[in-house]
Amino acid sequence: MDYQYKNLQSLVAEFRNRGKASKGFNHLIPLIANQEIDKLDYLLRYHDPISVYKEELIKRFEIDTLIEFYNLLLIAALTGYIPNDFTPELRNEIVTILNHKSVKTYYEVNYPDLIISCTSCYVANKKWFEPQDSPKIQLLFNQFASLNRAIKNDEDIERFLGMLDFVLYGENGLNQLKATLLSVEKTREILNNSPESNISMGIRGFIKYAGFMGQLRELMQSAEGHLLIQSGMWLFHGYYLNRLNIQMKSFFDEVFENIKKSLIDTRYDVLKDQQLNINTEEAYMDKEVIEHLNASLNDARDDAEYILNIKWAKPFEDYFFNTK
Amino acid sequence: MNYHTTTIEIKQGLNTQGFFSFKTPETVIIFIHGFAGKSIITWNNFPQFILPDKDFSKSDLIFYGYDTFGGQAGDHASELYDFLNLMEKPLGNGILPSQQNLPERAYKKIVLVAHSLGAILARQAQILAFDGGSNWLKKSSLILFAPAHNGAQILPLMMEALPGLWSLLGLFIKYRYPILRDLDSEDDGIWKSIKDRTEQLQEIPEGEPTKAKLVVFAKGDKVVRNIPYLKDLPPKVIDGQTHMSVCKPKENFYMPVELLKKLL
Repeated sequence: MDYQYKNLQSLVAEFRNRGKASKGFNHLIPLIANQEIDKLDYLLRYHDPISVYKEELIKRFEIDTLIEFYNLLLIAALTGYIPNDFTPELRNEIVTILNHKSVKTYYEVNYPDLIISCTSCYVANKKWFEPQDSPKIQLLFNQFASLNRAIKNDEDIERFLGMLDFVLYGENGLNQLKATLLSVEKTREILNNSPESNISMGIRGFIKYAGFMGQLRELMQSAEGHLLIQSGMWLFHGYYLNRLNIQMKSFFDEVFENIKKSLIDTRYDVLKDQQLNINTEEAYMDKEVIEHLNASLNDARDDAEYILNIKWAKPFEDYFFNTK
Repeated sequence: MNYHTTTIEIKQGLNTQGFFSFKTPETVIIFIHGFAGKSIITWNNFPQFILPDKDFSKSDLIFYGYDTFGGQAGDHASELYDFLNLMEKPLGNGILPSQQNLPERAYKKIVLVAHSLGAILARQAQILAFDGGSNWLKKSSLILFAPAHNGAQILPLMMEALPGLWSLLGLFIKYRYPILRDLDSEDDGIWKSIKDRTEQLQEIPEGEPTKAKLVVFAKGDKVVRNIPYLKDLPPKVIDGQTHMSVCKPKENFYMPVELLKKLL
């Protein structure tokens, strides 16, 4: 349909031909065309034993953005926003890049991310989706793209996800972030008083990302009855959701409680500054605020429980790799 | 059917996003969120309802964002004013990317749709446009949902405006961010000076666009004072909605879209 091609053109213009994705393309294509396999393997290596820093890291982020654009096309096709077969040029580009041995090792071995394998399989094997004619579902794509943009444009979330993805900012990484979140005193100090730091950004990023999980859940619930769409939307963020599941889920409850306690202590400090003689939690937090806090924490726990569940990957996995 | 581009990233503001019409648009509708809001999330399903609607096919839709935790209301209003000046020629000014292959716009109408604190920003931007002689002022009109132009109650705002864990962050910063003092109905915030200037403007023909064409109150709103504002048209009161939900259309609450549509 004509409007689907218009949507595709618009998507390519916005997400492929502007900014980081086009830079990612410019890094990859000369190396692939000139068969500079060693250079490409080195650029896309696992970060241990040889760490990845500065310019190399930026190049890799740009390549990641390009690959993410291909994944976005997959979700757009799934929701019927664009045609299943894209354009021949785009299909050719995707196959050239995603089927390249070095790139494949990057997303299958070094940093496994299932959705990229699905995107590659989709294009290479023409695993087109059933036509999606529900306008409601087609419109979900815009919501999905806007939500992604919101988290991409948030520096706190970016810092938190970086830490989750092994990046060290100065001497601060995921271990330091976890240690801070597990201490009421440190959390309070950082959220209240300390100057802007990687850890304070990481903590705020964690809280915001917990909020994002609630929004993703809402979006997935709007696609109720469309398991493949729910699975695709989840897998698009699957890399970080899996990392979160492995690295942090087990102490979520403790972290949430610590944030609450830090907040109560903060309120206490504020009132103490005002020289009010107050001794109990109930007295120095408004009852309404306490209720609100508890409800917020319960919602966050529910959202985490719903989202941090690898069952969401299954429909996509079955569709692409377990079809009889 | 889809009449608009995909979501376009706009550098001005914070996470500002635009959906530009494939047709020749006559109108641009600019949504401005409130305290702790987000460019698109504040408006929830608005894009979902209006993007496929033929009545909006000749309108560009901009969801303007700003960081309410950084800066004062006056700062954000000035930045919004700068942005609105650029919107007179979005292609030429790099807001509509040339890669989209769409022609330059010549809007006949600029509709500012604002929620809560966003109303203060929109009103102040109009005042600045008057002072700066901006051409767009005469083409502009105001549509306000639960406007905070009479000030706001801070604690309820904090709890309603910040969903889920966000509210925890909000409570942490309650005493640290000047924008909240701008809003406080008990305090001498920016809203009072805006009201004085708007009152003067409304006495002259050039100030006509400062009279809001539509004001929507949530019945029993716990955050803002539902008092008619100067020479705005009489407010529309909606039952069963809150300060935050009154601007969010959903399947059984289509009224915000209907009201907006009537004014196009």
